[in-house]
Amino acid sequence: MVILDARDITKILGRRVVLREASLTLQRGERVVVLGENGSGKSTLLQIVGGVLSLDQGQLELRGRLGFAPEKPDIPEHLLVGEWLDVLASLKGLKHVGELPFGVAELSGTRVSALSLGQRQRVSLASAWLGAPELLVLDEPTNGLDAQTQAEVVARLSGWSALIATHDRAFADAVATRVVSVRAGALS
Amino acid sequence: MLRAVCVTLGRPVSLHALALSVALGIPSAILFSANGLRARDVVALSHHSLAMRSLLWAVWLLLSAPALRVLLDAPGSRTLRALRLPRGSLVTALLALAALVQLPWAILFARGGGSLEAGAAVTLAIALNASLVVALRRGRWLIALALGGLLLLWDPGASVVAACGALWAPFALDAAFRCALEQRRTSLRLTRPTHPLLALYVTHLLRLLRSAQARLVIACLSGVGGATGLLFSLRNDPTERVLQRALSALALPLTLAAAVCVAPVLESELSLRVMLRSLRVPRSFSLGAFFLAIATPSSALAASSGVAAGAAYHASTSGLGVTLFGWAVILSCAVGIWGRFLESRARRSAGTFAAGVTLIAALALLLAFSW
Repeated sequence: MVILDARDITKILGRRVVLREASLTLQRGERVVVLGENGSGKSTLLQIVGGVLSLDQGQLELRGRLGFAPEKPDIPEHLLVGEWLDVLASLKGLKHVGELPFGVAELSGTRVSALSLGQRQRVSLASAWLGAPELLVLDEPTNGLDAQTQAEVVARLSGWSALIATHDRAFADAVATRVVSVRAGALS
Repeated sequence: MLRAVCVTLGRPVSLHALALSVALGIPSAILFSANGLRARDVVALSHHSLAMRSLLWAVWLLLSAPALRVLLDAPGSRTLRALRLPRGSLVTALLALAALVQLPWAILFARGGGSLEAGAAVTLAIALNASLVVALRRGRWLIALALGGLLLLWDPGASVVAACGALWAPFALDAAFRCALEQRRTSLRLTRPTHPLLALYVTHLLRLLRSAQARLVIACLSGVGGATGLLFSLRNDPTERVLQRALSALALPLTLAAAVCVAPVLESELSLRVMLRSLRVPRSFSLGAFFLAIATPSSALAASSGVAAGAAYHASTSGLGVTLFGWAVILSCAVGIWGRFLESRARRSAGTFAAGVTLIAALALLLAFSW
Protein backbone atom coordinates (compact mmCIF):
# COMPACT_ATOMS: atom_id res chain seq x y z
CA MET A 1 0.00 0.00 0.00
CA VAL A 2 1.39 3.39 -1.02
CA ILE A 3 1.64 5.74 1.96
CA LEU A 4 3.42 8.62 0.23
CA ASP A 5 3.14 9.57 -3.40
CA ALA A 6 5.10 12.63 -4.52
CA ARG A 7 5.02 13.46 -8.22
CA ASP A 8 7.13 15.98 -10.13
CA ILE A 9 7.78 18.17 -7.12
CA THR A 10 9.52 21.43 -7.92
CA LYS A 11 10.57 23.96 -5.31
CA ILE A 12 12.16 27.29 -6.06
CA LEU A 13 13.69 29.31 -3.21
CA GLY A 14 14.60 32.80 -4.36
CA ARG A 15 15.97 32.28 -7.87
CA ARG A 16 17.36 28.83 -7.20
CA VAL A 17 15.55 25.64 -8.18
CA VAL A 18 16.13 23.53 -5.08
CA LEU A 19 14.05 20.55 -6.21
CA ARG A 20 13.45 19.75 -9.87
CA GLU A 21 10.53 17.46 -10.77
CA ALA A 22 11.35 15.06 -7.97
CA SER A 23 9.12 11.99 -7.74
CA LEU A 24 9.04 9.47 -4.91
CA THR A 25 6.64 6.80 -3.68
CA LEU A 26 6.89 5.08 -0.35
CA GLN A 27 5.12 1.82 0.52
CA ARG A 28 3.93 0.96 4.03
CA GLY A 29 6.82 -0.57 5.99
CA GLU A 30 9.42 0.93 3.67
CA ARG A 31 12.26 3.07 5.00
CA VAL A 32 13.64 5.32 2.32
CA VAL A 33 16.91 7.06 3.08
CA VAL A 34 17.72 10.21 1.12
CA LEU A 35 21.43 10.80 0.64
CA GLY A 36 23.07 13.80 -0.92
CA GLU A 37 25.62 16.54 -0.56
CA ASN A 38 25.07 19.64 1.55
CA GLY A 39 22.55 21.92 -0.11
CA SER A 40 21.42 19.25 -2.59
CA GLY A 41 17.76 19.58 -1.54
CA LYS A 42 17.33 16.71 0.97
CA SER A 43 15.95 18.87 3.77
CA THR A 44 13.74 20.80 1.36
CA LEU A 45 12.22 17.53 0.16
CA LEU A 46 11.57 16.42 3.73
CA GLN A 47 10.13 19.79 4.70
CA ILE A 48 7.75 19.64 1.74
CA VAL A 49 6.63 16.13 2.72
CA GLY A 50 6.42 17.32 6.36
CA GLY A 51 4.11 20.17 5.36
CA VAL A 52 6.53 22.88 6.50
CA LEU A 53 7.21 24.17 2.98
CA SER A 54 4.68 24.50 0.18
CA LEU A 55 5.03 23.12 -3.33
CA ASP A 56 5.68 25.30 -6.35
CA GLN A 57 4.77 22.55 -8.80
CA GLY A 58 3.78 18.90 -8.60
CA GLN A 59 1.51 16.77 -6.46
CA LEU A 60 1.87 15.27 -3.03
CA GLU A 61 -0.40 12.63 -1.58
CA LEU A 62 0.00 11.42 1.97
CA ARG A 63 -2.16 8.64 3.40
CA GLY A 64 -2.14 8.65 7.18
CA ARG A 65 -0.69 10.72 9.97
CA LEU A 66 2.85 12.01 9.92
CA GLY A 67 5.53 12.44 12.58
CA PHE A 68 8.16 15.02 11.66
CA ALA A 69 11.56 15.58 13.30
CA PRO A 70 13.26 18.62 11.73
CA GLU A 71 17.01 18.96 11.35
CA LYS A 72 17.12 21.71 13.98
CA PRO A 73 14.68 20.74 16.74
CA ASP A 74 12.48 23.81 17.17
CA ILE A 75 11.08 23.41 20.67
CA PRO A 76 9.82 26.35 22.78
CA GLU A 77 12.63 27.05 25.26
CA HIS A 78 10.32 28.11 28.10
CA LEU A 79 8.50 24.79 28.38
CA LEU A 80 9.43 21.69 30.34
CA VAL A 81 9.97 18.63 28.16
CA GLY A 82 6.82 17.07 29.65
CA GLU A 83 4.82 20.19 28.86
CA TRP A 84 6.09 20.19 25.27
CA LEU A 85 5.00 16.59 24.84
CA ASP A 86 1.59 17.44 26.35
CA VAL A 87 1.20 20.34 23.90
CA LEU A 88 2.23 18.09 21.03
CA ALA A 89 -0.19 15.36 22.14
CA SER A 90 -2.94 18.00 22.21
CA LEU A 91 -2.07 19.15 18.68
CA LYS A 92 -2.09 15.54 17.50
CA GLY A 93 -5.47 14.97 19.14
CA LEU A 94 -4.18 12.41 21.65
CA LYS A 95 -5.63 11.92 25.13
CA HIS A 96 -2.36 10.63 26.63
CA VAL A 97 1.30 11.04 25.82
CA GLY A 98 1.89 7.32 26.33
CA GLU A 99 5.22 5.51 26.40
CA LEU A 100 8.22 7.65 25.50
CA PRO A 101 11.26 6.24 23.70
CA PHE A 102 14.94 7.25 24.00
CA GLY A 103 14.81 7.89 27.76
CA VAL A 104 12.76 11.05 27.29
CA ALA A 105 10.53 10.23 30.29
CA GLU A 106 13.53 11.02 32.54
CA LEU A 107 13.77 14.47 30.99
CA SER A 108 10.11 15.39 31.39
CA GLY A 109 10.78 17.74 34.33
CA THR A 110 13.67 19.49 32.58
CA ARG A 111 13.36 22.89 30.91
CA VAL A 112 13.97 22.69 27.16
CA SER A 113 16.48 25.55 27.50
CA ALA A 114 18.59 23.34 29.79
CA LEU A 115 18.81 20.41 27.32
CA SER A 116 22.02 19.47 25.56
CA LEU A 117 22.09 19.02 21.77
CA GLY A 118 21.76 15.25 22.07
CA GLN A 119 18.91 15.47 24.60
CA ARG A 120 17.11 17.94 22.36
CA GLN A 121 17.46 15.52 19.45
CA ARG A 122 16.07 12.68 21.61
CA VAL A 123 13.05 14.82 22.52
CA SER A 124 12.56 15.74 18.87
CA LEU A 125 12.64 12.07 17.81
CA ALA A 126 10.26 11.07 20.63
CA SER A 127 7.96 13.89 19.47
CA ALA A 128 7.94 12.43 15.95
CA TRP A 129 7.01 8.99 17.33
CA LEU A 130 4.25 10.42 19.54
CA GLY A 131 0.85 8.98 18.63
CA ALA A 132 2.37 6.24 16.44
CA PRO A 133 2.07 8.03 13.07
CA GLU A 134 1.86 6.06 9.82
CA LEU A 135 4.90 7.84 8.34
CA LEU A 136 8.00 9.18 10.07
CA VAL A 137 9.88 12.00 8.38
CA LEU A 138 13.28 12.35 10.06
CA ASP A 139 15.80 14.97 8.98
CA GLU A 140 19.34 14.07 10.12
CA PRO A 141 18.05 12.00 13.08
CA THR A 142 21.51 11.01 14.32
CA ASN A 143 22.74 14.60 14.83
CA GLY A 144 24.23 14.88 18.31
CA LEU A 145 23.19 11.37 19.37
CA ASP A 146 25.52 9.01 21.25
CA ALA A 147 26.17 5.50 19.87
CA GLN A 148 23.71 3.87 22.28
CA THR A 149 20.81 6.12 21.29
CA GLN A 150 21.71 5.74 17.61
CA ALA A 151 21.44 1.98 18.05
CA GLU A 152 18.07 2.46 19.76
CA VAL A 153 16.86 4.59 16.83
CA VAL A 154 17.96 1.85 14.40
CA ALA A 155 16.18 -0.84 16.44
CA ARG A 156 13.03 1.23 16.86
CA LEU A 157 12.76 2.08 13.17
CA SER A 158 12.28 -1.53 12.11
CA GLY A 159 8.68 -2.11 11.07
CA TRP A 160 7.94 1.62 10.61
CA SER A 161 7.48 3.56 7.39
CA ALA A 162 10.00 6.35 7.25
CA LEU A 163 11.57 8.94 5.00
CA ILE A 164 14.99 9.81 6.37
CA ALA A 165 17.64 12.30 5.29
CA THR A 166 21.13 11.64 6.60
CA HIS A 167 24.84 12.03 5.94
CA ASP A 168 25.63 9.01 8.07
CA ARG A 169 26.30 6.16 5.61
CA ALA A 170 26.49 3.48 8.32
CA PHE A 171 23.15 4.58 9.76
CA ALA A 172 21.64 4.62 6.27
CA ASP A 173 22.88 1.06 5.62
CA ALA A 174 21.46 -0.09 8.95
CA VAL A 175 17.95 1.27 8.49
CA ALA A 176 17.25 1.66 4.77
CA THR A 177 15.08 -0.62 2.71
CA ARG A 178 15.77 1.71 -0.23
CA VAL A 179 18.28 4.51 -0.78
CA VAL A 180 17.70 7.46 -3.08
CA SER A 181 20.12 10.25 -3.74
CA VAL A 182 19.53 13.90 -4.48
CA ARG A 183 21.92 15.73 -6.74
CA ALA A 184 21.31 19.36 -7.72
CA GLY A 185 17.63 19.04 -6.87
CA ALA A 186 17.01 15.87 -8.88
CA LEU A 187 16.17 12.52 -7.27
CA SER A 188 17.74 9.33 -8.55
CA MET B 1 37.10 44.26 37.73
CA LEU B 2 34.21 46.53 38.62
CA ARG B 3 34.32 47.84 35.05
CA ALA B 4 34.09 44.29 33.65
CA VAL B 5 31.00 43.54 35.73
CA CYS B 6 29.39 46.88 34.89
CA VAL B 7 30.06 46.48 31.15
CA THR B 8 28.71 42.92 31.14
CA LEU B 9 25.74 43.22 33.48
CA GLY B 10 25.34 46.96 33.92
CA ARG B 11 23.48 47.67 30.70
CA PRO B 12 20.77 45.00 30.93
CA VAL B 13 20.26 45.61 34.66
CA SER B 14 20.15 49.41 34.20
CA LEU B 15 17.59 49.03 31.40
CA HIS B 16 15.37 46.84 33.56
CA ALA B 17 15.82 49.11 36.58
CA LEU B 18 14.96 52.13 34.44
CA ALA B 19 11.88 50.41 33.00
CA LEU B 20 10.73 49.50 36.51
CA SER B 21 11.36 53.03 37.81
CA VAL B 22 9.51 54.66 34.91
CA ALA B 23 6.65 52.18 35.09
CA LEU B 24 6.32 52.79 38.85
CA GLY B 25 6.87 56.53 38.49
CA ILE B 26 3.65 57.07 36.52
CA PRO B 27 1.21 55.63 39.11
CA SER B 28 3.37 56.97 41.95
CA ALA B 29 3.11 60.51 40.58
CA ILE B 30 -0.67 60.16 40.82
CA LEU B 31 -0.70 58.33 44.16
CA PHE B 32 1.76 60.67 45.87
CA SER B 33 0.40 63.90 44.36
CA ALA B 34 -0.24 66.96 46.53
CA ASN B 35 -3.67 65.72 47.66
CA GLY B 36 -2.75 62.07 47.65
CA LEU B 37 -0.75 59.72 49.84
CA ARG B 38 2.39 60.69 51.74
CA ALA B 39 5.42 58.41 51.83
CA ARG B 40 5.63 58.92 55.61
CA ASP B 41 2.07 57.57 56.04
CA VAL B 42 2.78 54.53 53.85
CA VAL B 43 5.96 53.65 55.77
CA ALA B 44 4.26 54.25 59.15
CA LEU B 45 1.29 52.09 58.09
CA SER B 46 3.64 49.33 56.97
CA HIS B 47 5.18 49.31 60.47
CA HIS B 48 1.84 49.35 62.30
CA SER B 49 -0.16 46.91 60.19
CA LEU B 50 1.10 43.36 59.58
CA ALA B 51 -1.28 42.90 56.63
CA MET B 52 -0.16 46.16 55.00
CA ARG B 53 3.50 45.31 55.56
CA SER B 54 3.10 41.84 54.08
CA LEU B 55 1.19 43.18 51.07
CA LEU B 56 3.65 46.00 50.39
CA TRP B 57 6.68 43.73 50.61
CA ALA B 58 5.07 40.94 48.57
CA VAL B 59 4.21 43.38 45.77
CA TRP B 60 7.69 44.90 45.75
CA LEU B 61 9.50 41.54 45.81
CA LEU B 62 7.32 40.38 42.92
CA LEU B 63 8.00 43.55 40.93
CA SER B 64 11.75 43.63 41.50
CA ALA B 65 12.39 39.89 41.00
CA PRO B 66 12.62 39.97 37.15
CA ALA B 67 15.21 42.77 37.19
CA LEU B 68 17.28 40.93 39.81
CA ARG B 69 17.13 37.79 37.70
CA VAL B 70 18.65 39.75 34.79
CA LEU B 71 21.58 40.53 37.09
CA LEU B 72 22.04 36.83 37.81
CA ASP B 73 21.61 35.28 34.38
CA ALA B 74 22.26 37.99 31.76
CA PRO B 75 24.01 36.63 28.62
CA GLY B 76 27.48 37.85 29.62
CA SER B 77 27.30 36.43 33.15
CA ARG B 78 28.62 33.04 32.01
CA THR B 79 31.87 34.66 30.93
CA LEU B 80 32.08 36.47 34.28
CA ARG B 81 31.68 33.17 36.12
CA ALA B 82 34.39 31.56 33.97
CA LEU B 83 36.82 34.40 34.75
CA ARG B 84 36.83 33.41 38.46
CA LEU B 85 36.96 37.02 39.64
CA PRO B 86 37.82 37.83 43.29
CA ARG B 87 34.66 37.05 45.20
CA GLY B 88 34.67 40.16 47.38
CA SER B 89 34.91 42.56 44.46
CA LEU B 90 32.36 40.61 42.43
CA VAL B 91 29.82 40.64 45.26
CA THR B 92 30.38 44.38 45.82
CA ALA B 93 29.69 45.06 42.14
CA LEU B 94 26.61 42.79 42.20
CA LEU B 95 25.33 44.58 45.32
CA ALA B 96 25.75 47.96 43.63
CA LEU B 97 23.75 46.80 40.60
CA ALA B 98 21.11 45.12 42.79
CA ALA B 99 20.75 48.39 44.71
CA LEU B 100 20.08 50.16 41.41
CA VAL B 101 17.04 47.92 40.90
CA GLN B 102 15.84 48.88 44.39
CA LEU B 103 15.86 52.61 43.66
CA PRO B 104 12.07 53.19 43.81
CA TRP B 105 11.90 51.16 47.05
CA ALA B 106 14.77 53.18 48.52
CA ILE B 107 13.12 56.49 47.56
CA LEU B 108 9.85 55.45 49.21
CA PHE B 109 11.53 54.51 52.51
CA ALA B 110 14.02 57.40 52.43
CA ARG B 111 11.18 59.91 52.03
CA GLY B 112 9.03 58.09 54.54
CA GLY B 113 11.52 57.27 57.29
CA GLY B 114 15.02 58.48 56.49
CA SER B 115 18.22 56.92 55.20
CA LEU B 116 18.40 54.15 57.82
CA GLU B 117 14.88 52.98 56.88
CA ALA B 118 15.88 53.06 53.21
CA GLY B 119 19.06 51.06 53.88
CA ALA B 120 17.12 48.48 55.89
CA ALA B 121 14.44 48.11 53.23
CA VAL B 122 16.92 47.84 50.34
CA THR B 123 19.29 45.32 51.96
CA LEU B 124 16.44 43.14 53.19
CA ALA B 125 14.73 43.20 49.78
CA ILE B 126 17.98 42.18 48.03
CA ALA B 127 18.57 39.44 50.61
CA LEU B 128 15.02 38.06 50.31
CA ASN B 129 14.98 38.14 46.50
CA ALA B 130 18.42 36.50 46.23
CA SER B 131 17.54 33.89 48.89
CA LEU B 132 14.42 32.95 46.95
CA VAL B 133 16.55 32.32 43.85
CA VAL B 134 18.86 30.06 45.88
CA ALA B 135 16.03 28.33 47.79
CA LEU B 136 14.46 27.24 44.49
CA ARG B 137 17.70 25.34 43.79
CA ARG B 138 19.11 24.52 47.26
CA GLY B 139 16.60 23.24 49.81
CA ARG B 140 18.48 24.41 52.93
CA TRP B 141 18.13 28.03 51.87
CA LEU B 142 14.42 27.72 52.60
CA ILE B 143 15.45 28.11 56.27
CA ALA B 144 17.19 31.41 55.50
CA LEU B 145 14.15 32.52 53.54
CA ALA B 146 11.83 31.59 56.42
CA LEU B 147 14.04 33.50 58.90
CA GLY B 148 13.94 36.51 56.60
CA GLY B 149 10.17 36.24 56.46
CA LEU B 150 10.01 36.12 60.26
CA LEU B 151 12.25 39.19 60.50
CA LEU B 152 9.90 40.99 58.15
CA LEU B 153 6.82 39.99 60.16
CA TRP B 154 8.46 40.78 63.52
CA ASP B 155 9.75 44.18 62.33
CA PRO B 156 12.27 44.81 65.15
CA GLY B 157 13.19 48.30 63.94
CA ALA B 158 15.23 49.81 61.12
CA SER B 159 18.65 49.47 62.78
CA VAL B 160 18.27 45.72 63.47
CA VAL B 161 16.81 45.05 60.01
CA ALA B 162 19.57 47.11 58.37
CA ALA B 163 22.27 45.19 60.28
CA CYS B 164 20.74 41.80 59.42
CA GLY B 165 20.18 42.81 55.80
CA ALA B 166 23.72 44.16 55.39
CA LEU B 167 25.18 40.89 56.71
CA TRP B 168 22.80 38.61 54.85
CA ALA B 169 22.48 40.30 51.42
CA PRO B 170 26.12 39.74 50.26
CA PHE B 171 26.01 36.02 51.13
CA ALA B 172 22.60 35.54 49.52
CA LEU B 173 23.60 37.43 46.38
CA ASP B 174 26.87 35.50 46.09
CA ALA B 175 25.04 32.17 46.46
CA ALA B 176 22.35 33.28 44.01
CA PHE B 177 24.93 34.30 41.38
CA ARG B 178 26.68 30.95 41.68
CA CYS B 179 23.56 28.79 41.34
CA ALA B 180 21.26 30.95 39.17
CA LEU B 181 22.09 29.05 35.97
CA GLU B 182 21.25 25.68 37.49
CA GLN B 183 17.88 24.09 36.93
CA ARG B 184 15.32 24.61 39.69
CA ARG B 185 14.82 21.66 42.05
CA THR B 186 11.20 21.26 41.06
CA SER B 187 9.47 22.79 38.12
CA LEU B 188 5.72 22.73 38.14
CA ARG B 189 4.30 21.02 35.08
CA LEU B 190 1.33 23.08 34.04
CA THR B 191 -0.06 21.26 31.02
CA ARG B 192 -2.10 18.18 30.19
CA PRO B 193 -3.20 16.88 26.79
CA THR B 194 -6.24 18.98 25.94
CA HIS B 195 -7.91 20.84 23.04
CA PRO B 196 -5.31 22.22 20.58
CA LEU B 197 -6.54 25.81 21.02
CA LEU B 198 -6.20 25.58 24.79
CA ALA B 199 -2.78 23.91 24.51
CA LEU B 200 -1.48 26.72 22.28
CA TYR B 201 -2.98 29.35 24.57
CA VAL B 202 -1.31 27.82 27.65
CA THR B 203 2.02 27.64 25.76
CA HIS B 204 1.83 31.37 25.03
CA LEU B 205 0.81 32.21 28.60
CA LEU B 206 3.73 30.18 29.97
CA ARG B 207 6.03 32.13 27.65
CA LEU B 208 4.76 35.35 29.20
CA LEU B 209 5.00 34.02 32.75
CA ARG B 210 8.40 32.36 32.50
CA SER B 211 10.40 34.35 29.97
CA ALA B 212 8.77 37.77 29.80
CA GLN B 213 8.17 38.68 33.44
CA ALA B 214 9.55 42.18 32.99
CA ARG B 215 6.98 42.81 30.25
CA LEU B 216 4.22 41.34 32.42
CA VAL B 217 5.27 43.65 35.26
CA ILE B 218 5.05 46.63 32.88
CA ALA B 219 1.61 45.45 31.73
CA CYS B 220 0.45 45.10 35.35
CA LEU B 221 1.88 48.46 36.37
CA SER B 222 0.28 50.09 33.37
CA GLY B 223 -3.10 48.58 34.27
CA VAL B 224 -2.73 49.46 37.96
CA GLY B 225 -1.66 53.00 37.01
CA GLY B 226 -4.75 53.37 34.82
CA ALA B 227 -7.02 52.02 37.55
CA THR B 228 -5.46 54.35 40.14
CA GLY B 229 -5.90 57.30 37.79
CA LEU B 230 -9.54 56.35 37.26
CA LEU B 231 -10.22 56.09 41.00
CA PHE B 232 -8.55 59.44 41.75
CA SER B 233 -10.31 61.09 38.84
CA LEU B 234 -13.69 59.81 40.05
CA ARG B 235 -12.90 60.96 43.60
CA ASN B 236 -11.68 64.44 42.68
CA ASP B 237 -14.14 65.08 39.85
CA PRO B 238 -17.27 62.92 40.33
CA THR B 239 -19.35 62.27 37.23
CA GLU B 240 -22.63 60.64 36.26
CA ARG B 241 -20.95 59.07 33.25
CA VAL B 242 -18.68 56.65 35.09
CA LEU B 243 -18.49 54.28 32.12
CA GLN B 244 -17.25 56.94 29.71
CA ARG B 245 -14.67 58.07 32.26
CA ALA B 246 -13.51 54.49 32.79
CA LEU B 247 -13.22 53.77 29.07
CA SER B 248 -11.16 56.90 28.43
CA ALA B 249 -8.99 56.54 31.56
CA LEU B 250 -8.07 52.96 30.69
CA ALA B 251 -7.69 53.33 26.90
CA LEU B 252 -3.96 54.06 26.96
CA PRO B 253 -2.94 51.74 29.86
CA LEU B 254 -4.83 48.77 28.38
CA THR B 255 -3.38 49.37 24.91
CA LEU B 256 0.10 49.50 26.43
CA ALA B 257 -0.55 46.35 28.51
CA ALA B 258 -1.55 44.46 25.34
CA ALA B 259 1.30 45.91 23.27
CA VAL B 260 4.07 44.71 25.59
CA CYS B 261 2.74 41.14 25.31
CA VAL B 262 2.74 41.01 21.50
CA ALA B 263 6.45 40.26 20.90
CA PRO B 264 6.81 37.33 23.36
CA VAL B 265 3.57 35.72 22.16
CA LEU B 266 4.65 36.08 18.52
CA GLU B 267 8.02 34.50 19.43
CA SER B 268 6.21 31.64 21.14
CA GLU B 269 4.09 31.11 18.04
CA LEU B 270 7.18 31.25 15.84
CA SER B 271 8.86 28.50 17.84
CA LEU B 272 5.81 26.29 17.21
CA ARG B 273 5.53 27.09 13.50
CA VAL B 274 7.23 23.97 12.15
CA MET B 275 5.08 21.67 14.25
CA LEU B 276 1.88 23.63 13.52
CA ARG B 277 2.52 23.26 9.79
CA SER B 278 3.62 19.64 9.85
CA LEU B 279 0.59 18.66 11.96
CA ARG B 280 -1.68 20.80 9.76
CA VAL B 281 -3.20 22.54 12.79
CA PRO B 282 -6.02 24.84 11.60
CA ARG B 283 -4.91 28.48 11.39
CA SER B 284 -7.96 29.52 13.41
CA PHE B 285 -6.51 27.72 16.44
CA SER B 286 -3.16 29.50 16.29
CA LEU B 287 -4.84 32.87 15.67
CA GLY B 288 -7.31 32.28 18.50
CA ALA B 289 -4.57 31.30 20.93
CA PHE B 290 -2.52 34.37 19.94
CA PHE B 291 -5.33 36.84 20.56
CA LEU B 292 -6.45 35.10 23.76
CA ALA B 293 -2.92 35.22 25.18
CA ILE B 294 -2.49 38.91 24.34
CA ALA B 295 -5.88 39.84 25.76
CA THR B 296 -5.53 37.86 29.01
CA PRO B 297 -3.37 40.24 31.12
CA SER B 298 -5.11 43.43 29.98
CA SER B 299 -8.65 42.04 30.23
CA ALA B 300 -7.98 40.68 33.74
CA LEU B 301 -6.65 44.09 34.79
CA ALA B 302 -9.58 45.87 33.12
CA ALA B 303 -12.21 43.67 34.78
CA SER B 304 -10.57 44.14 38.21
CA SER B 305 -10.40 47.92 37.68
CA GLY B 306 -14.05 47.97 36.69
CA VAL B 307 -15.13 46.03 39.78
CA ALA B 308 -12.96 48.25 42.04
CA ALA B 309 -14.29 51.49 40.49
CA GLY B 310 -17.87 50.21 40.64
CA ALA B 311 -17.53 49.25 44.31
CA ALA B 312 -15.86 52.55 45.26
CA TYR B 313 -18.34 54.82 43.53
CA HIS B 314 -21.58 52.83 43.90
CA ALA B 315 -21.89 52.04 40.19
CA SER B 316 -22.78 48.59 38.83
CA THR B 317 -19.67 46.49 39.53
CA SER B 318 -20.62 43.70 37.14
CA GLY B 319 -21.66 46.12 34.37
CA LEU B 320 -18.48 48.15 34.65
CA GLY B 321 -16.31 45.02 34.99
CA VAL B 322 -17.82 43.32 31.93
CA THR B 323 -17.71 46.47 29.78
CA LEU B 324 -14.07 47.17 30.63
CA PHE B 325 -13.25 43.49 30.02
CA GLY B 326 -14.78 43.80 26.54
CA TRP B 327 -12.95 47.10 25.99
CA ALA B 328 -9.63 45.42 26.85
CA VAL B 329 -10.37 42.53 24.46
CA ILE B 330 -11.16 44.97 21.60
CA LEU B 331 -7.99 47.00 22.23
CA SER B 332 -5.87 43.84 22.53
CA CYS B 333 -7.24 42.51 19.25
CA ALA B 334 -6.46 45.81 17.52
CA VAL B 335 -2.90 45.78 18.88
CA GLY B 336 -2.54 42.08 18.02
CA ILE B 337 -3.70 42.62 14.43
CA TRP B 338 -1.21 45.47 14.07
CA GLY B 339 1.58 43.30 15.52
CA ARG B 340 0.79 40.41 13.18
CA PHE B 341 0.57 42.73 10.19
CA LEU B 342 4.01 44.14 10.93
CA GLU B 343 5.42 40.67 11.59
CA SER B 344 4.42 39.63 8.07
CA ARG B 345 6.26 42.61 6.53
CA ALA B 346 9.92 42.42 5.59
CA ARG B 347 10.60 46.00 6.72
CA ARG B 348 9.48 46.52 10.30
CA SER B 349 10.81 48.24 13.39
CA ALA B 350 9.94 48.80 17.03
CA GLY B 351 9.29 52.45 16.18
CA THR B 352 6.66 51.55 13.58
CA PHE B 353 4.98 49.22 16.06
CA ALA B 354 5.00 51.92 18.78
CA ALA B 355 3.57 54.48 16.33
CA GLY B 356 0.72 52.10 15.46
CA VAL B 357 0.04 51.39 19.12
CA THR B 358 -0.07 55.13 19.89
CA LEU B 359 -2.54 55.60 17.03
CA ILE B 360 -4.73 52.77 18.36
CA ALA B 361 -4.70 54.35 21.85
CA ALA B 362 -5.58 57.77 20.39
CA LEU B 363 -8.47 56.29 18.38
CA ALA B 364 -9.66 54.45 21.49
CA LEU B 365 -9.62 57.70 23.46
CA LEU B 366 -11.64 59.46 20.74
CA LEU B 367 -14.12 56.59 20.70
CA ALA B 368 -14.45 56.69 24.50
CA PHE B 369 -15.02 60.47 24.54
CA SER B 370 -17.70 60.19 21.88
CA TRP B 371 -19.52 57.39 23.79
